[in-house]
Amino acid sequence: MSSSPPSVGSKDENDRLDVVIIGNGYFEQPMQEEEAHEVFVDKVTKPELKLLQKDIESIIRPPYRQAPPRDLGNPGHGKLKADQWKTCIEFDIPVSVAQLWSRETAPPDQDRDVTARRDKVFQSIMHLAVAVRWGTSYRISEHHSQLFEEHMVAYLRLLLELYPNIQFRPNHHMALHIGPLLTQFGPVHSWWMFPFERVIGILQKVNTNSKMGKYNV
Amino acid sequence: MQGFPKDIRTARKLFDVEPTTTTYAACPACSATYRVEEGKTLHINCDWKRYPNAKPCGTKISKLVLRDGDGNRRMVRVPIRPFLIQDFDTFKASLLSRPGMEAILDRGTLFNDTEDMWDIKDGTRVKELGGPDGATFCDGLKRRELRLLWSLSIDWFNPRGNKAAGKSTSTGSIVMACLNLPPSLRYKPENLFLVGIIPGPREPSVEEVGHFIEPIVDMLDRSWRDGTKFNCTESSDCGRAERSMLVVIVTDLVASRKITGVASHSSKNFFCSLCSLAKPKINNFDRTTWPTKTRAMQKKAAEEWRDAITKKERKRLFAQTGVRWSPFWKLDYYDPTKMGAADTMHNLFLGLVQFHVREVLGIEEVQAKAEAGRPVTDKEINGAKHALATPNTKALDRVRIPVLRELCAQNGIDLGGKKKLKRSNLVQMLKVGHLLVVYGTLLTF
Repeated sequence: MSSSPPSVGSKDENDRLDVVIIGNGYFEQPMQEEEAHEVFVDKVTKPELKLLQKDIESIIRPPYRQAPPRDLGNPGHGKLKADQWKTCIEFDIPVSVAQLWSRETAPPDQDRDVTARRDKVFQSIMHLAVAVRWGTSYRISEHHSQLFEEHMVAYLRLLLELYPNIQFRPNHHMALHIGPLLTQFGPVHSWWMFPFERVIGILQKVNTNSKMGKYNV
Repeated sequence: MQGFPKDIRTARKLFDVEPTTTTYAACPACSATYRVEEGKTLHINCDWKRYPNAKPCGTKISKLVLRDGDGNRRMVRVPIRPFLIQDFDTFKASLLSRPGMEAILDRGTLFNDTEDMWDIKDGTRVKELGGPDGATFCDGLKRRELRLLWSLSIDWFNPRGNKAAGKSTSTGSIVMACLNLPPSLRYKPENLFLVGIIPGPREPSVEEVGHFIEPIVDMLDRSWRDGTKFNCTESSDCGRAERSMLVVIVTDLVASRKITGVASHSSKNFFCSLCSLAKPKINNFDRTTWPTKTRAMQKKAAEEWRDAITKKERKRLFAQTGVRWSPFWKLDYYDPTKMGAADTMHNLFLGLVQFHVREVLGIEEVQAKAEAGRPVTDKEINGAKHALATPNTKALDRVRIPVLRELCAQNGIDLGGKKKLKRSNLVQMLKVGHLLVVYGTLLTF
């Protein structure tokens, strides 16, 4: 940042400040989010989001499934846990969006192009959801690995078809490596980070005030 | 009551419940680690060189403290930034001394005869592993030696919790899990081997992190090459030998690149650690067409980087190969193309699913826009004013942008009619403006 305090108000100085700060931001986040945002045109509208939130609230789940936040979409709920994203893709999002966007449930008076496009977005969700289910199964076989890969490739192809200017993230590429890893290492529960993140949870709760306190042997 | 401990620390010592650890002094500046040995005085300054022809670091790594707990007053040199590693052999011994554990660990070396895979040992990788003698490492119960398989995970976290406000520090946890144990027992806290905590306050850089990994790699290498002999175990009174091997390194995308020394995932030519596809070709979904990476190629590049004398030369080599030296290469069996798995939790749930829900479907963003359009209340303005007046203006980072804009207008700061302004930009202008006002009032006196 510039060392001399710029005289606020003069346009030139303002411009300079602007450039410097944006420059800094660029180095911290090499992936410019704004560029990526412009690409996606099919978004859940606000009334649709209300319906989705209503669905999330009405679902009765088994106790071991962590529900996504009731007000999903409101920045106030903070970051979602990995487990909440898991629930989202395995149940909530596909079920809700199927009711909103699939060809069968679309209102008859909707523009046919819109219906076709929304149906495709829904299909992409389904491909991702199915791939995730095959990939994270606790029982793995050659078949699981193949189907994971098929659906993952189908998902990425569909995204590319819907948004030709999409900038894929390294994660999208890494996901395609998971197929062979499944046959190499077996079910993901022995090589994913959930248990190690839990250790971090334990470590974060440890008091570091140099007092002994309660001691568990 | 003679000799009854008066202090909890003495009691803990007597019960022998403390883990056995080795202490290292980590340099506060460059993270070079020095082993603290009993009876040996610690260095005062760090003498590590970043590259062979560089100047030594020279930062103070130890300080003098008074020790008089045992009635013997003396000054002792202690590390300023200690790094502790739990002793591997002692941990294995404590694991083995639990009733029934040895049988469970032995059963873990047997392969299941099922078509489907239920655990990591059913995968192809474990069956390929080689021992120091060149034979298969995990060959069932054909030998008396106990063979243990491990996974290693390194991740950085904020020990002060994940709250956005407050100081952000980053410490690393290094944890190993014994893959011989069945999944139901493997991740119980008492069965996980907490190797050490990489000290903060900041995450070590990619070139510094090796200092923390090196002692761990040495420990793993010893236990693979020489093995450990336990005097007495449940199954035999005359002792039993044991060997350990690392199977997989489990980390998120960022940490995996950092600890293995390869280029970051945002690198243009080397963003993938498992193949050499370049970023501009990321839309290629056909795995068979990707250029492959081989262990030999990677090892050669890593060694060249290590042996380069100047910073410039290292930089040139790195730009060419995307590989730096990593202590993991000290392991004879290290193979970055096979051991560095992509973590499915981060990749699928926090990566792809989050991307799809937030970016593609635009959930989260829809409401963020609505939030931005909410009218500014007096309460918010007053809160922001208060935050601005306090010396620590961190609280301003949580104020909404429209409120900041309104405050700018009230303070007579001309925003120049620009539509898009970043929060940091606005905060900066407000701070400067506020300072000018304060100086102005001071000058009038």
